[in-house]
Amino acid sequence: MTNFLSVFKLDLLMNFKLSGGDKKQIAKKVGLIVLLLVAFALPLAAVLIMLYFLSQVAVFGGYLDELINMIFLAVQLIVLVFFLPSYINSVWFSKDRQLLASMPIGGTAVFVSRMLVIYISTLMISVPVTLIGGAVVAAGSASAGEMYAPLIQQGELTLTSQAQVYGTAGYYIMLLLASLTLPAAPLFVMAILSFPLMKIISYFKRNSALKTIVMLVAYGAFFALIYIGSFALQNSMQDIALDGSMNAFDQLNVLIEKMCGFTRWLYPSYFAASAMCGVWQDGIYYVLTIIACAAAVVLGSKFFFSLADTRAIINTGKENSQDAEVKMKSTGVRLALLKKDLLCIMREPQLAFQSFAGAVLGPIVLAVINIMLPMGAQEGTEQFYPAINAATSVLMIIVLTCGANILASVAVSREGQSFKITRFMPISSRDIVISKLALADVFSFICILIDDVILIALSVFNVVDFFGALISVTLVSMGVNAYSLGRDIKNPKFVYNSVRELVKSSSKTLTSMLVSLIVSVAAMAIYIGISLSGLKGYAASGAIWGAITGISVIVCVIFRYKCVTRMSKGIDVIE
Amino acid sequence: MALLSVNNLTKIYKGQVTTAVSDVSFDVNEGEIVAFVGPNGAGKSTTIKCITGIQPYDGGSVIVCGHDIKTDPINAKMNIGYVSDDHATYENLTGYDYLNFVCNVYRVPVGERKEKIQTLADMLEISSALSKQINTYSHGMKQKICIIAALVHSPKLWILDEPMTGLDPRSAHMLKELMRSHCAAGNSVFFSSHVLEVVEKLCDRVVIINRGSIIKTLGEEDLKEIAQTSSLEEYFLALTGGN
Repeated sequence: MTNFLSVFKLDLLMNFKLSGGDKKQIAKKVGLIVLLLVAFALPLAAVLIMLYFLSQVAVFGGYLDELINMIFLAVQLIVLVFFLPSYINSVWFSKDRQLLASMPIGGTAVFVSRMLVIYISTLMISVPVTLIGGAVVAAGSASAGEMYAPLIQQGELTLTSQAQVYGTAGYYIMLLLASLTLPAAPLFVMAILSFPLMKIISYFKRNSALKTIVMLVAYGAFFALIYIGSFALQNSMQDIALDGSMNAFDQLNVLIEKMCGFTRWLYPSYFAASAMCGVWQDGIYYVLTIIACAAAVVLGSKFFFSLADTRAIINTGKENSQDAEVKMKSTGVRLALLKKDLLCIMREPQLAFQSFAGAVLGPIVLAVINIMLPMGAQEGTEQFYPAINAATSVLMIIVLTCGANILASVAVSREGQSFKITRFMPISSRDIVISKLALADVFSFICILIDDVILIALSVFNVVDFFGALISVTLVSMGVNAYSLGRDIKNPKFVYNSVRELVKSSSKTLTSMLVSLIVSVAAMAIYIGISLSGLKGYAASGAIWGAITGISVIVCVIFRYKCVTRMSKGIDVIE
Repeated sequence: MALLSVNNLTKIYKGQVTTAVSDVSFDVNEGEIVAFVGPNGAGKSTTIKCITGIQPYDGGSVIVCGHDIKTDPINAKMNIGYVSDDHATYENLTGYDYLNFVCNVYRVPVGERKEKIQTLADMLEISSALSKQINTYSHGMKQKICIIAALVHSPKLWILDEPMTGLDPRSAHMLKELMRSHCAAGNSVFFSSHVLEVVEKLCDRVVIINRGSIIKTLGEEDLKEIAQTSSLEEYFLALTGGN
């Protein structure tokens, strides 16, 4: 662990420095995070309310530990899915790997430092989600006795000992410990997965475009699997008898068993959940398992790093293109810039993944919400579901195609020091702006079209909806792309160590998401409002898309007005 | 005829009080090889970046082949071939991808580009690497791909920032030959360097900059005189405050 502290301090500085102490920038970043939290407050509140009522019921059947482990599972899955690409990127593919390899710094020090930085990042999800979830479960279980007092008095329901755990210190100590240590297990899995994954990525290094496609397909497949799993769970819940042979509590118990029962096999987090519910021996098992995971990661890192050679990471791959016939085609400057940008992105797999993931995720999310949501329809509410589905879909399309599109928001920054090439070549700033906007706009349009086709295929959209969404969401995306590019030109960041640092730590990507979110919520409200007003069929669709297109035109005009001229001037003054 | 005319060039970086370069003026004439020398931080790279259009400047003018780099940047840049000190390229492109992009930007006809690239690549002994991604290249190979990119459109004015850095002796010799033949064809070369032995032997004129200002311009006669009495290195050290 030679020089571990030096590397760790550097990594902390690189990853968590809030704009070099500039108070205005810090306030801006914090403000954006708060606004995003406010935007997501509604769906979050819905989940917490559901959790509250489920925990009220769970204490009667003794399912509280499984329910708590369900929260832990969610935290661990989020950590695994969203931090694995960052982990591989920062541990194996960061730009300073070769520099650090040339210094008197132990491989284990680099590995452990990077892992600790990722661990600290994961705490930002793990701590609030676990603590809030745990507090809601405690509140729910505490109120169970009072809520169902008449049934308890009549002897129809009996409280288990789990109804009392909210009053024990062990519950909160273990909750706090779990919130700090839950990422350990997914990090352990990441450490194991990252080495073979790095080797596979290195193998594809020559075929970076192919690697990007493989990554996107794998990403899509992973999400599809999660959704199919949820879908299967939803289907299995249909087995719950609603014919009066089961009372409401038995039905709810079956429901909780189907939802959370499987989590009793998921260790080590089940040990923590079980300890919170009074089985203190499991707390010891949990702590021991976590220590074992951490030790295995630290000890294993030496082995992994000795297997990996820096040059091998960077340069492995088949030299298969050497003898290929060289074809040179003449194109205009804008097309040449666009092609160059696309090639550069496709051959930087982390960036390509971040840039194009929306094209995969969008169709999957839309397909799933439109298949699953109607299944949860309660009797008497079926007539509202088509409108709610369609409105939710509109919201998702705008967020996933406009907000999650980073092609414009880091269009200049992603070029790094190479940006100066376009400055000394005979390329006008106008051509640079137009080519960058064109790439982002074309990609947005393709995503919108794919999402639209999914929605019309699932009969969520009719023909008017299809064209209405295509036109209006394209207009919104053009506006958001112009806004995002403008912000990047105004304040480009040419020096960065990893794509994660470029994309995830950028307030530009957050603000693009925020603008899209505001527009999408307005569009959703219009959709639901007009659908519930009594208008039906094509007339309703016409009115809805007329109103949404109106907003889209305003968004597009506001952000796009004089943007090419203004941005061209902005590029001219970049130093 | 001056292919490059720099008049009273002044540059102040954002947020800084002092000028990076101040009232810099010089010409580079047709058929000349002109060296730009100065201590570290003297303003060489800043001047070159202003000349090539990378950095906006605050005062003066830069005229390339009759075109002002500020008001007519495209036509001015069409006449420049530039090799940067950090060999800036698009690392994820292959050598051929990058050179094809450069040819598209400089409007090199499709029929000519392959032959030109091949000739230059053979000369610099990098042909076999052109199909590989630039991020696999060594320092010297990146320098070579930048040289090919700068010359593929046969520019009137070839500007190089520290071109000898990282080149093996054979490639350095080849580069000097290329610079001479470029000038022999009626073009000009303007380059910055710290290698004063090369400057002394290769150049027709030497422009010396210190603390952002031109302190001396040496012509052919001056260079001959210096060579007879001492060396350019000694002269440079004495002029810029060394021993």
